[in-house]
Amino acid sequence: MRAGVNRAGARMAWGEDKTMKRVWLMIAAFAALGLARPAKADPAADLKAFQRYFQTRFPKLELKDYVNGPYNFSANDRAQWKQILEFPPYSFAVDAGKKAFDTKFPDGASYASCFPHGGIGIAQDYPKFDEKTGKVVTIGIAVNECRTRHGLKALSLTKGELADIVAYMTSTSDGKPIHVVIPNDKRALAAYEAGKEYFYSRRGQLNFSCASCHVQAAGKRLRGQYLAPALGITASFPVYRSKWGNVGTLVRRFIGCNKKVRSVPAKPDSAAYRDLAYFLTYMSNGLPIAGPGARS
Amino acid sequence: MKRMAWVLAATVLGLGIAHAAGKDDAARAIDAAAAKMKTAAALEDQWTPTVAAFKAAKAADAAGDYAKAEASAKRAEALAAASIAQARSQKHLWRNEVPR
Repeated sequence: MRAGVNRAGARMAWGEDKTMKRVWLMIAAFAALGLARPAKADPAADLKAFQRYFQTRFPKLELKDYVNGPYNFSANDRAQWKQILEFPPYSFAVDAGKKAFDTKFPDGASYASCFPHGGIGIAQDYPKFDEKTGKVVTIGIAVNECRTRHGLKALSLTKGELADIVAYMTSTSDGKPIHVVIPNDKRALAAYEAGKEYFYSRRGQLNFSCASCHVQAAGKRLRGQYLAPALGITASFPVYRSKWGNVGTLVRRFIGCNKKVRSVPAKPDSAAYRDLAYFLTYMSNGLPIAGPGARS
Repeated sequence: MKRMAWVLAATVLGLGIAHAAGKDDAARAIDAAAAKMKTAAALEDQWTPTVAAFKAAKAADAAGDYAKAEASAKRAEALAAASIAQARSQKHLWRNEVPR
């Protein structure tokens, strides 16, 4: 069409037309090269950009405040939340979790024997990349792996006894800075990239990504609730949610979010959720653990 | 009287053929929906309304309501096709949402 117009209007000599064609070809070649080259994973650069994005949007918030999630945006909600924390609703789960954690397995071993430092004060290091299996291991999955190694059945990764145990383990890390490591291993970087892709991909009939609510709309209201920023969002898990009436894990929240946007959730121990937890928790590196937490 | 019998027989036959055609159409629609849903599941982007529509189609089919089964299956197929399109487009578009 362009060439036709040029010929019809005799605005461009044949030589000039040929030069233009070459220019267009070069532009197309450069564009193709740019598209064909896969973006190299750079978690450290992502982390900087991610934290800078939120700090630019909410300049009054200090980095450590992000662990308070939606309660940074409403004085009224924050006051109610603080009142709830005077008698923390998750304390029963922490007590039950400690009891389960300290109970010996039938073979005489215990959870403590499966973890470094006896499982105390280590929650900030999860999720971890397991070089043997090439998979991401969340703290809940590590608890289940410990059980199956000692001949016990794996527990539900979403709530109940496992959530209680993780709540107890997390309580022993309270205040410690999140320290998720992404080793220079192709598989670990691929898992990180997969988690990142999942986080930013729109899904479900409502066409929402995790980022739609927790990046773009963070701090805004969705009906009666403020949306928590993705930065610091994992720091309070497991959480006691008033809506649930008990404590639930991060993967339980993933499942809930997926269902809300009308997407069939993945399996709790799926690679999709492992990788998502890996990416999302890494984005909060440096922020203090503030779990277990309480949310509406 | 004879004519009445012929009309009645023709009606019964016609209804039977229509019924069989409806059953086949419903089965074809259910198969087509299942195939599309398999692709959507492989792309890890199945929608809950797709599953609900497919379940409704199977239930209507089992109950002999083939018109409803066909309609529900076609809805499931359309929803699955939309989720496939979403998953394929997001393979590139997700990068636009990353803060830089």
